[in-house]
Amino acid sequence: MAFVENIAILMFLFLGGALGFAAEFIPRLFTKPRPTPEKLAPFESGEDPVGTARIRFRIQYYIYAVAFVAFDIVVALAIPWAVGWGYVYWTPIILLLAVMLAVVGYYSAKGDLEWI
Amino acid sequence: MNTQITLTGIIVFIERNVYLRFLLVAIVAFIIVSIGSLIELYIERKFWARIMSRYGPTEVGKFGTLQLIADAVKFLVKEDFSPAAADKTIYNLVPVFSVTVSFASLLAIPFDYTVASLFPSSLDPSLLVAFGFFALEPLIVLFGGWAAGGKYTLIGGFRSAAQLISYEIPLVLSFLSVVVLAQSLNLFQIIQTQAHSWPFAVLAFPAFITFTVALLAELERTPFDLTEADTELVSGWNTEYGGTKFLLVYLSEYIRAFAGSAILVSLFLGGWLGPAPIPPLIWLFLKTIIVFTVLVWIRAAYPRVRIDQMLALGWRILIPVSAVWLILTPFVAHVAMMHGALA
Repeated sequence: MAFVENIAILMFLFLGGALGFAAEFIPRLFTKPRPTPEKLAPFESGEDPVGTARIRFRIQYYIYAVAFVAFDIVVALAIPWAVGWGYVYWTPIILLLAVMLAVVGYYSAKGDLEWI
Repeated sequence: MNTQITLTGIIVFIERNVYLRFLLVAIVAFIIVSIGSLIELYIERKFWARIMSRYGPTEVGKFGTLQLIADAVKFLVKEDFSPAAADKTIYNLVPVFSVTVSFASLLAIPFDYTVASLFPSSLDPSLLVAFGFFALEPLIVLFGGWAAGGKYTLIGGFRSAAQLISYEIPLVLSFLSVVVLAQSLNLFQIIQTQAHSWPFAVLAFPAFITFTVALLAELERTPFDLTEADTELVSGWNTEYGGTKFLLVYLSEYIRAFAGSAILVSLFLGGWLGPAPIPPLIWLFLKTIIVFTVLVWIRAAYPRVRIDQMLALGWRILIPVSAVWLILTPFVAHVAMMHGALA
């Protein structure tokens, strides 16, 4: 990891961020905020908003997120194998992918991937 | 004493200064992607409308070409406000982050030999850089949905994030089989390999299909746009955004679409390579726009899937197919090398 490529990434981030901030601040120069309670209320199909927006959400999202983290590690371990498959043993990666597929099968059989 | 400023002098000065050089590359990439996004938006509105027997924009400019400029000006003069329930700092920062991250994923796209030669050769895992920036999107979506302070935006954010992370694994597994064929994580290298072999869309056909489907879901386009679902729901996590904030969110969506199509073209369809002697940049641009047009065509042709169908497709079909194909790819590469289909 050389130093120059960090500069390349930094410059892209800098230009994107600068344009983003400029686009947000330009309208503030020639528009005047005229807030009304209706304008500042959250959109709920034209009805008056009920309660707070910090609602409970499904545990399902959490299960998907945990499955994603576990599988993503397997995939990340497959990347070096994919680059150098001619020079390394295949057994570990085949085992890992097989375990991943078995887990997908187990998840499916158990019904945790169903959307209730 | 020669104080005359010449064009070559300026070029040499820029070439020697590494900051200026990369800023110039970023500006070039920005110009390319702005033209690309404008063309994409025009195709999205006009081509889609023609498929549905509508006219699309016709009033402003010849064939409605200036409609997009008119819309941008309208966004710029809109009043700037944040909802009362919103977390103001994060709410205002999310569009900026969104457009920054989408723009930074362009870093890895090999537009041209000349642009390629400007990049440091040490940016070898450029595919990883691009997908690293792509993978930040679920975070932005969650932050945006939470910070806007509405129930719909929060639920929309969670749904978006679930969809994005479900399709990230098949996406990576499918592009890994291209990496197996080219034995490199560098997009320049991958395109160069395709110069002496069949296009990877043929050699890795199942990966091409799974990658396209996963990319459609990652870009949240129809048939996987159920987080936005503009005819049923409101707009998903970005419901509360207005004015230029919405413009930024919208722009970052189209920058992502452009980057995604360009990566698809570079991985599977030979990138800047082509039979006719057109400049490589134009080739890549043309192919990207054609891929995007196909995405719009899919949008017009297919109905939206339900959320359970979408998640089942991702976890039960795409992940097993792409994982099995990844293990089979080295054998395919071996056979292709023996028959001269792969260098």
